[in-house]
Amino acid sequence: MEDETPASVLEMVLYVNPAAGISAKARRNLEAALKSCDPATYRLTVRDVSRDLAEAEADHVVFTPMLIVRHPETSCTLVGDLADLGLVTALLSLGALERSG
Amino acid sequence: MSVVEKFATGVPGFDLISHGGIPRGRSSLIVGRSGTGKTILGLQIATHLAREGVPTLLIAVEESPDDLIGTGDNLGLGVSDAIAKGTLRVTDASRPIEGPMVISGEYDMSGLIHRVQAIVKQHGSRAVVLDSATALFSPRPPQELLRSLFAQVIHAFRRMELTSIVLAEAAEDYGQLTTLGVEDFVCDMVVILRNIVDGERRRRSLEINKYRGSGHYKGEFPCTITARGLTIFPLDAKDRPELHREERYSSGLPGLDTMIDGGLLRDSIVIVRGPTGSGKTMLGGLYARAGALRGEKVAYYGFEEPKAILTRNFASIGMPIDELERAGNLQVLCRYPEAMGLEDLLVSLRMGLEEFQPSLVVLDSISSIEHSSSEKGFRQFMIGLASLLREHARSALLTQTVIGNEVATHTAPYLSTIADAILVLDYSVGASDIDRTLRVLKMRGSSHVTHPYRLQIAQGGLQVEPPPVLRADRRQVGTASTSERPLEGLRILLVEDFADAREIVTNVLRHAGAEVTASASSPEALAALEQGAPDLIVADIGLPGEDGLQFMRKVRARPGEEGRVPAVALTAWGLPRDRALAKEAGYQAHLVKPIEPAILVSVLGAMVVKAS
Repeated sequence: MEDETPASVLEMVLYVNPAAGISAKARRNLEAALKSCDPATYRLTVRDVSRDLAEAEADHVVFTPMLIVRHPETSCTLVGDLADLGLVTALLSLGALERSG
Repeated sequence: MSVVEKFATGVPGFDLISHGGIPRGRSSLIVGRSGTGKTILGLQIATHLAREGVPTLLIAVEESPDDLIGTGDNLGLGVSDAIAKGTLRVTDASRPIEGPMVISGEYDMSGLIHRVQAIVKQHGSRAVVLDSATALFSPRPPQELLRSLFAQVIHAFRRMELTSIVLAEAAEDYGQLTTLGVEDFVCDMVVILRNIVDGERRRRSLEINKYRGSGHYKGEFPCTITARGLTIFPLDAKDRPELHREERYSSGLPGLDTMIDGGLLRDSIVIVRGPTGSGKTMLGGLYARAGALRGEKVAYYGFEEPKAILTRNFASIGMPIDELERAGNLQVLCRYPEAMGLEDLLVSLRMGLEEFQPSLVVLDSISSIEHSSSEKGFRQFMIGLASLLREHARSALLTQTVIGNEVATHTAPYLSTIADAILVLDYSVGASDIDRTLRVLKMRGSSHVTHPYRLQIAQGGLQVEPPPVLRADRRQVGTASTSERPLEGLRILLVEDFADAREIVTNVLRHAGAEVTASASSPEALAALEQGAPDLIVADIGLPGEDGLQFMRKVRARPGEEGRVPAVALTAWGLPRDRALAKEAGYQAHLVKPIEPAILVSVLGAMVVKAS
């Protein structure tokens, strides 16, 4: 019987600046891109650069919004408000994100 | 008018040309192509500020913090020490390691700004070095966004009252300042580093391109990177009060001292110019030896021959230097400028000045340096050298080789500015001899003789002599009335090494009625004395080998009439101490050349009357 559980979950960390409109926009765009994905295949953490300083330091965060995508097979960093839904979807799919439906 | 508050950088030369350092609470931009030393300069400033008690933050973008720390430690800047003491903090803003970075839509700099804010709050940072803006904005955003993002960073630094230093890559040495093309507009100070190929060599320079609200030195200044970091050689020097001392010291050539009112002025730079073979190196040697014999420390840099040959040549003309070296008063360093860059040579000179602490420096010759570099490179070297000498308040003698007809005119404006005194050596080749001359072309702050003196290369170095009598009077010598013969029948022994001087004085005395026995040296004159005591002796002091003082001591040591013959010193050595020495040796009178024939004859006549 084939195992349907993904080899590993896609880890995503979105760094935002709550005071900035573009961060809220990035969050909305990411949620839209993930809408069609199986929630079991990814884990999204949203961090506030003004509060989560140790994490931001460890992840070398310079720009906001910034989405770090980590997967054993492929990883990447997306900078910006993630307005290009097609690009975001394509990059997430490289991370073996399972689509639902 | 508001005054820009500044932080000294501690970078040698930089604080001078920037009139005090970088603007406090403002942003300074350091630009340059790859390999120009931006990171080194940034690290140097960061560690200096940290050492001075200004907590400083270093943002590593282009390299990892470990690499930056390693670079600084290898240069002896003490980055690790400063970090350990807590005065320096390094934060990593290099690219995230997770795969490629993709830009999608708009973004801002809140991430970096919040991180810096947190560090400033916790660490108390008052200065920040960002290395570099170019790496920070890679991949490069659209120009308008880039401008906005960079401004966000700079304005945030300013809000936090940080003194910031931003490094950026230059696209070219001359032209657009940075590859990004936005940084200089929002920074208060812009510093350009260059490392360009100039002929067969590389030449480094630093230029302050802009300094909002502050004066600064304009143009490119040579700089170099050594094991101690970046060093800049500014044109001008600090206005040290001791630069204006009136103290004089002997040039090592007594007749020259008479020409220049008693000697060279302390802290002055003398250029000795002349064609090959005119005696420049010898004059340099005399200058160095005189200083060392006085107990001063002298550094002699020879660029034209190896040390062994220079030492041998000096010894062969009676100017040995090895004893003085052994005693620690003289340091002779010979090297070929072609073998090292001019900036490295300047650094070597600087280190020599700092370590050996000489009061006198000789460079023989700057023409060797000129020939091994471009015109611009040489100009920068000379400017740097002058600055170095003035900064350390050192006196120096530099020799310069020129082609025959350029002797009096070959003065690049900057060389003329640098030199406080210019001496010109020259010669003309006659049928059987070489007529050499020495002229004081310029001497700031001192009266000096403007007509040329004659020069002779002899044992012990050089002999300098003015014409024995004034030119106008020389014409009168031949027309003097034979009825005016105040020295009629007197037997005079004349000792003069210069043939033309001997001839002229002989003629003057003979026209006054004297019988003259002329000799060219002390031994020759002593031999003439054996033939019978004269009524009077007229002797030069600056004689080759045994000088006129030694000669007179030997005369006075003789028994009987010979030892009591009245004697007159007729010399170019006209200083009070020369007069005292002549009297001490046994001369009754001391006359300084050039002299009017009538005065010479009157004095001699009076002496004979007195003696009788």
